[in-house]
Amino acid sequence: MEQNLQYFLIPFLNWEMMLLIWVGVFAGIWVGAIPGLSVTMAASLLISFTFSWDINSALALICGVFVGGVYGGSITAILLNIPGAPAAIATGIEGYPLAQRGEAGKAIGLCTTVSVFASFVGIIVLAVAAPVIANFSLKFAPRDFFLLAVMGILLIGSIGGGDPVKGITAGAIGILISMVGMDPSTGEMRYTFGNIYLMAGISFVTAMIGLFGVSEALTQFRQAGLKSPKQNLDRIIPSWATFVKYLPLSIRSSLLGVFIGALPGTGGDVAALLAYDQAKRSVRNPSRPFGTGAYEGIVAPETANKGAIGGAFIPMLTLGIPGDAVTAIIIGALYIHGLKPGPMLMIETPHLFWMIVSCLSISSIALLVLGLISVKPFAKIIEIPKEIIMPVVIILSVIGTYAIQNSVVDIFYMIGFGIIGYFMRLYGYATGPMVLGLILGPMLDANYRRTMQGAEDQFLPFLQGFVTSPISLFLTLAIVFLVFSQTAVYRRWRGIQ
Amino acid sequence: MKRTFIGILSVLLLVVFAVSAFAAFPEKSLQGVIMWGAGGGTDNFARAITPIAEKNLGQNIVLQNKPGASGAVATTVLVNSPADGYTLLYGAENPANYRVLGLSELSFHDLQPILIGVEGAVVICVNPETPYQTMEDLVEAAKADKKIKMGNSGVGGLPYVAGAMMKGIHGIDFNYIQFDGDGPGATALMGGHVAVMPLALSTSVEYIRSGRLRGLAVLTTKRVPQLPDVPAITEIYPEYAQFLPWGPFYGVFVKKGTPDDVVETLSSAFSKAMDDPRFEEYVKNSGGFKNGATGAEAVQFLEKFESTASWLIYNAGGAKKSPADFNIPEPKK
Amino acid sequence: MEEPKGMAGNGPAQGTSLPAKDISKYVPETRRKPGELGIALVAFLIGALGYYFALGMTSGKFSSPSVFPKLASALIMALSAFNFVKALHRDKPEESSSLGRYLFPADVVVILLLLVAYCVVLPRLHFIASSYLFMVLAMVYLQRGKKILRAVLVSALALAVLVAVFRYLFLVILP
Repeated sequence: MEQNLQYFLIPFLNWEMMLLIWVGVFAGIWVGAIPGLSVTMAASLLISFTFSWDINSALALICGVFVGGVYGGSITAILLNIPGAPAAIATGIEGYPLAQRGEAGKAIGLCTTVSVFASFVGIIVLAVAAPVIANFSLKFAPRDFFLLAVMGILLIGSIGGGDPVKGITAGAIGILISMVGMDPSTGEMRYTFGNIYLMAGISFVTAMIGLFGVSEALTQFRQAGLKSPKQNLDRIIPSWATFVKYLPLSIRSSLLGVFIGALPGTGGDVAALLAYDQAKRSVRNPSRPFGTGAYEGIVAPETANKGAIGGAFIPMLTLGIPGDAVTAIIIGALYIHGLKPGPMLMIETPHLFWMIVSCLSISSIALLVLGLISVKPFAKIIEIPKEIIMPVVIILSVIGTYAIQNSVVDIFYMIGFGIIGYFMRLYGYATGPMVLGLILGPMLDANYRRTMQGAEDQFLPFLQGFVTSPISLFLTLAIVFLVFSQTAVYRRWRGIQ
Repeated sequence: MKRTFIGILSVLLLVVFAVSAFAAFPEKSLQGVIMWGAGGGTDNFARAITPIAEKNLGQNIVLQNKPGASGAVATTVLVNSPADGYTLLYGAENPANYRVLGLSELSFHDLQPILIGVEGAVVICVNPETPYQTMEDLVEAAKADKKIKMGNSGVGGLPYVAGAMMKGIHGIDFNYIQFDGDGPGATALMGGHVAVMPLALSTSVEYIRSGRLRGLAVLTTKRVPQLPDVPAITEIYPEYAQFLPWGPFYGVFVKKGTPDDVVETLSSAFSKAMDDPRFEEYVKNSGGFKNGATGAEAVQFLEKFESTASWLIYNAGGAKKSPADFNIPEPKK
Repeated sequence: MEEPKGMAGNGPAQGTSLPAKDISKYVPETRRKPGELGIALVAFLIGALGYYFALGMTSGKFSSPSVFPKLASALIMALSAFNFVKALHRDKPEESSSLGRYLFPADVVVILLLLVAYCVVLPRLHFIASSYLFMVLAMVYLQRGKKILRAVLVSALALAVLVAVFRYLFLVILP
């Protein structure tokens, strides 16, 4: 125990690591905020960059960028309705209307405070219960990932903000588009027409930037002369009472985030969406109706995606299995620095575990300070006249898209999605469900087929699995409840409007 | 700290003023295209060897991941760039199978190997809760009961080809369940969602060492130092020798037709990088073996691999076209 | 084309900030928008084409690669048929609002044309020149020809920052 405390204190006593964490968080906020620049990219660049450094310094920098980057993604979602990363899609649903009301400062301030809280929840769970959760997460069969994806798909009706049938239509088109490319399991080409660029598939980040960014810009040009909303920046730090009011929701969502983050293959994006949906169903008297700037709709996804950071490290540090793309790269970094990530990592190099826990803690503190300092300058961005900011946003979207895979074709896809999104918005087809379909489509398809292959392609054994395995049974019941809770009978019974 | 700052500064300076004083190759920074995504085995190899090779070359290599279609996208990018040696491809074994799988018209014959860097081996792994203690147990059980679930990473992937070997030799078939790669497959194997999966040594060595997985046999002719207790497959079934040596590998390539002196400069820079103690440490920990073949030796290595893998896939029924259509010779029995 | 003032149908009042609409409860509009039937048809066509091409994929098993494409396409077709019928039952769009003007107000047309031109020019002029041109032209147009100097300077500054971040910090080789 004393030994662990000593390991925990390493970064606190080393001013070089301390500085690198702060630099990392600051850089991460910007990386996250720029659509197309992702923490994954930054982390893989840092591996080459820190090759000759000491492993501790390299990890300190990467941890800082990770925490800052997840936070930064929400900033652009709130300010411009362009999520900097998929994990921030849900935040934009409530955050952007708030910014349009002139409450961007308050929204980012709230987002920062609950983010730091959730990040600590994730770290504490990581420190206390990592091995237990990691072993439990291994029990999740392909069938259970399929059920999680179904849960996510159920959101489509709820994030549309308009006609639910149109939302589902858009979601189904999203799923169809996600099928384009080489089928990862059989290598069969679907909808590729012999084109090598289609074979590589359509990245959902590309679609997300187009459907949110460019289509938002185009829609704004319909309203010439519309002034950018004036921002009220008086009280950006939420009061203690506000914080306490959202505490139960914060705890619930961040624990959900930790767990979803710990599942290999699901990360902050799925966690944030599930948490948003959960808040929308369970909060009885939101500060405003959901979809128009409810604070609860910011608290839930923000706490979930920050909780997922600690969660992602759980399988990585205990088993050597990446919890998400960033931890996959950190595993690579450990190899390159001469360590052996795997189940023995915690036993053979316990200092590494405690050092990462403490790097993440310092990153969260840095996030609180740096996040609150940058609220005002960030909020000022929306006050820039539209005719200046929108062309810049379009070019930013272009270069961000290109940077994802260094592909010019992606730029064309992105602009194409922007134009499609513009038409969709005109006719009340929300763009959110389409992105959701693109994200969850492959997860649905692959896990459904794995489950079917496991049942030797027989329909009955396939169905039996849903009730015989305890985890699947629980998730199936949860889905039944989710569907039931949308019916009028249930709503009248619970007294939800 | 000072060192870090100087490091940052020098890297920035190198990038900003990427103009060289030498007239000979390379006179500007190079571009490195990685055919798989960040965090994968190919990516790790590229990011471990490049910083050392850069020093030997005296030029920067700007790395970028261009994943897609089993690396066919990155291979196409290389082939469409000029044959001047300024574009490098960091790749794995996949181009050997593009033509038979109908992924692309390209193959290793369109590339010029700079270096075959690291080779790996494949281990047949089972979940420790299954009753299969030895390779014989597994083969017998598979003969008796055709319902054993085997994890797979798609047609043409390493587990698929290993499965094809088992099918060819023992006539056994499994219930294949496809995952997105070695890593997710290993996770499912540990969770008991599949019973058996052939995994790259680099993926499985730590899991076997910690008892999370049981290794039944390594697909090599000799035991590997990382797993001294796991028998080599030829100790149990000598008939596997016809397919061996076979396993994953990572290498660096340029477009075919690149001038010989350029290829030589690059080869020697990367070969020297392989002897760096830091790189040796990485190879040891990641469960690989140094290969280091360059020039004609590397070309021969690639041809042998192509012949083994493509005929195995073809005989297992996974190919779209016969390797004979591309004049790929059948491996000698 | 004239200034798109007093555009038909939707859109909040001009010169004010956008009041957040309560969209938590969906209130169907009584009039359909111009072209609403058309977009339902387009969606149906996407579904039909998706299904048609899925027929060429491997099928026959519950775990075949064609299962999800077929499911998604069928769902799209069914839902867009529903959307079509629902839109048909609503009142006709207002006489004054033509489809062209609803879809393409002047500003949108200009930006779309600029975007298309950008895509065409990008491979030839490369990223820096074409992006700079795009930003300057878009800004000058949106400011109605005023403050040209500001557009020239702001674009240069924005581009410089972007290139610095992407090219020199993130080592992205620009197109």
